[in-house]
Amino acid sequence: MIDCPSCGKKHRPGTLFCTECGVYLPTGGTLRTTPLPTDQLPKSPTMPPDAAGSGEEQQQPLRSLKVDMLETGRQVDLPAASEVLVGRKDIVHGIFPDLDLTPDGGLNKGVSRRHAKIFQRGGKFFIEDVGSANGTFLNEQRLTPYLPYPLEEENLIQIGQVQLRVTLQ
Amino acid sequence: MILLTDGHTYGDEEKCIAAARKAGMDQIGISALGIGEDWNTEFLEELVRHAEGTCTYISHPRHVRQVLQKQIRGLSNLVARDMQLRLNFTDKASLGNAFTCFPEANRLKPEDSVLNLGLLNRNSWVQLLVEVIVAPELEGEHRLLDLELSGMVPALGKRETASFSLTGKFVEQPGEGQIPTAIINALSRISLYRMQEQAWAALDEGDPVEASNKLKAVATRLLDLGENDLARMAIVEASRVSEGKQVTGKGRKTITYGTRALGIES
Repeated sequence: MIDCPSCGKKHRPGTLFCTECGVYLPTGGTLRTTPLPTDQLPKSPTMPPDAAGSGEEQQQPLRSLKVDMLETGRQVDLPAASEVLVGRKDIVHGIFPDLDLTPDGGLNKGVSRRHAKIFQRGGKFFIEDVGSANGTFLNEQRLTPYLPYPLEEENLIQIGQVQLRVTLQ
Repeated sequence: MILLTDGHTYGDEEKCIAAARKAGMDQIGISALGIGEDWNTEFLEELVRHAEGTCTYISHPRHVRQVLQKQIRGLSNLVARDMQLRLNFTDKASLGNAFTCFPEANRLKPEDSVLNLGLLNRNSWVQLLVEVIVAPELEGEHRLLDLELSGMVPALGKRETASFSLTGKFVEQPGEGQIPTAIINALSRISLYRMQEQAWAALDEGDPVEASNKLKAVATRLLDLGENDLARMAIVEASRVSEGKQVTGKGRKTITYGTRALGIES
């Protein structure tokens, strides 16, 4: 008998797919990313206490954003909103990001339909990668998905391979 | 006949099935298009099974035109209908499970050793996966089953038949030979299809832990295949189940029909 390397279920020799978890048994499934030791990963800035959703954000006036696409020269002013979705428009699936990078070659440059979000809490701006395929970079540092990172007044952000300058207004 | 329906009857499901069976015998095909999340999947699947049709899930009314066009195009390209594969097993083997892999992954229910395959369109094909069960001590070369494929060809006005036999060679250890990619792809899709079947079965039997685990495994496999949207749906539904909530109708239908429709490259 052979053991499934993923779930441990036993199978007859020659079995191709685990009936329990679907793993391809001859190779033990697709190659997976090995987690690096945590001291080798960049530290995520700690979220300030007042940004943890205490309700204070309701009292802060919302600010708008100016976005410059560095390669195409396109400029977008995003109105004041508590959250802005950055990605690529997909009409079929009903995905309409607030900042649509399709005109900037988003499809070929690895922009996911739902790529990142920029949001305001307690008067501060944060950016969070929402599980994109090709990552979000803030000042050349790759963001850990689903962790909010604070923004400065002016920021160099890379969405897939599309570079943006985001300025708070 | 193409039905646009929610699949809910007024207590006369049996009569509908009987009518579909009669339609099938009179060579009238019935396909069903279900829109939205509340349509009665089990009933419509049973209905179309008797009349060579397919069930198609349409998540939003805006997709109706596209699906209708595809259905009508399929009907105008018809080469053969009432395709049947008769399996006559020798005493060395018996039938396990049977599935279609293309044009969609689906479980086949044999009736008196016959698999009903429905329609065959021009420039298309039907790909099957048939599990053949043999005794573990079998060695050497054995004829396992005789197959008879038949279909009504409207252009000829008659039924055409082709016969062939399946022979298996059994050795103690699996060989080193390369397994054809088409077989691996077919097994991969069917394996995924069966996992989602098992998830719903566990849920229907009141085992949310098993159902949630299966849905998570389905999500992992879907991510491997690059089907991120379907995977996300499976993760969401797995979370709902593990929290003791009901799965959503939309989630269940999207996962079921989404895994069925995953393309197979042969």
